[in-house]
Amino acid sequence: MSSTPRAIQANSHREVAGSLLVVDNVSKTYQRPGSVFQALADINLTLPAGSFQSIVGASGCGKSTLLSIIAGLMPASSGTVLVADQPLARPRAELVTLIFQDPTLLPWLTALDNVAFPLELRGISRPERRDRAEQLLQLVGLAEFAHHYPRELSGGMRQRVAIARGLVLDPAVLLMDEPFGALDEQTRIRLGDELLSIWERTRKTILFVTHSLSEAIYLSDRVFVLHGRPSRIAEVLDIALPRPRNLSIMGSPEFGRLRNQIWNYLSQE
Amino acid sequence: MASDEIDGHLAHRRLDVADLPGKPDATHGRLPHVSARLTQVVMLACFAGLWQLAVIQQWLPPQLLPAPSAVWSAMVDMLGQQEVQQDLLVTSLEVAVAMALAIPLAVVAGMALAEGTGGKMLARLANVGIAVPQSIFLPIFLLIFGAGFAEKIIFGFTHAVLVILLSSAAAARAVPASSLQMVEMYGATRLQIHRKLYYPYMTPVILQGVRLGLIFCVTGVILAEMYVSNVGFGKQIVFWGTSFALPQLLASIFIVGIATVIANQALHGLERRAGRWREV
Repeated sequence: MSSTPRAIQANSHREVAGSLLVVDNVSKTYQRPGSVFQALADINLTLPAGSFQSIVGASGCGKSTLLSIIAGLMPASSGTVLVADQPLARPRAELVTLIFQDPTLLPWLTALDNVAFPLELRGISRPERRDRAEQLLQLVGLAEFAHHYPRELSGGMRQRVAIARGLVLDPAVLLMDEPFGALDEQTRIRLGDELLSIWERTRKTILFVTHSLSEAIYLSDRVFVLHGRPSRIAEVLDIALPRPRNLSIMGSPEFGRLRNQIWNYLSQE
Repeated sequence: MASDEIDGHLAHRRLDVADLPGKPDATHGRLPHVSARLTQVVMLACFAGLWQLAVIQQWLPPQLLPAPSAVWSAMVDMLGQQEVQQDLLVTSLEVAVAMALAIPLAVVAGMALAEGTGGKMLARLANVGIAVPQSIFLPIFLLIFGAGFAEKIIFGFTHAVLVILLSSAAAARAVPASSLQMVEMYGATRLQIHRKLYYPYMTPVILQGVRLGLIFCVTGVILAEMYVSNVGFGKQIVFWGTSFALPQLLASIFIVGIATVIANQALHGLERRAGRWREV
């Protein structure tokens, strides 16, 4: 088991070929009368198909901004985002879907209708979208709650419905913006475990944003550390912990070493 | 992801049903509703009893406080008169037309106000507009629009439109930004964003504004009729008042009051239905 910190620029240029998602020199600057604020500088990421990668960083370091740019919800000030070698300048949920921290379920729709919502927007017939939504609710273990409204579900269940909805268009890349951030620790760990099971089953390419170092290490093949002002990819760690993983791995010396290593990067001024 | 991959491999996992907020019981929301109705009936009965007692005890001169039975007889008698029916019809029509004009305009303007860059300034103007009693402008309305059907509709319209506009703007602003991002990410068109997100979120709040706007509208129309018109129920109220016919005057007031309460309750029913998802 080993981890290999290195400069991301070198890494990205080496691995661009064959990567499903390429974030190439993306920067984001906010300009207001009398002030200019650069949030992100020269971000380079590559995600091979089927990989699970995470971004960690302190609150307000621009993690969500980066995901919004990758999802096409926000334009980059410079740089490009390529998905399957195609530039992504606007939201295309069939290619890249973002799962928010807030489950953003529509409260007047049942769990089933919420999962089917993206298909409804695309004019898919009711029986077809119901079949698809039922399959995905089964995948996230909520088949028996298909006809419950969001107010009748716990926080963890709502987030699982949001994950099912995120998968309904069968996107190539799934972006997850601290999806378990608002949940209690116990639910968070359990959902992380379930997310791993879903990923192992579907082999979606996932970019997961979190401020929990343990969560990032437990889930990922690779962790990007976002740090500095403006934020840059300060370090990249390959997580060579064996898969499938279970929670006992969190007690291993290697897990602790990786955690300390990331913490050291983040705590550098 | 192929559909055959989705075989519910997580279905074996134990669901934390204990964590659930719990499905609302059908009777859970009904009991307070029944209790509120009962309270209203009891209060009405107490009011009628107190009124009758005041008449028997002659706390006020009989010329100023007729018996409830006299007012009831006057009401039945009035409602049987063709002229009163026509006046009621005219007033109802004026209110309906004024509201039909005010609601779509106010909703569209309210959304534009919430979305537009100059929204905050417009909201401040609307707030100032609503703070000024509009009745003081009635003579100006008469000078501009004359003393006909249109003037009363416009006066009712102006009373209602700002209230509905402000509630529509508040409703549009209450739509969570994250939900808007979510529907945009899933590729919703502008029309779909309005139909699938804005309207379901906004409808209950707009209906609250419409309920309030209706009361303002009735006030405006009746006021305009009382001030100058020779048709409409406002004219009836003025006629019975200046004739010192207290049973008929009180009956007129009750007719307007009851009609407004019925319309308000109907809107409240729609509001409850549209906002059922808000109930926890």
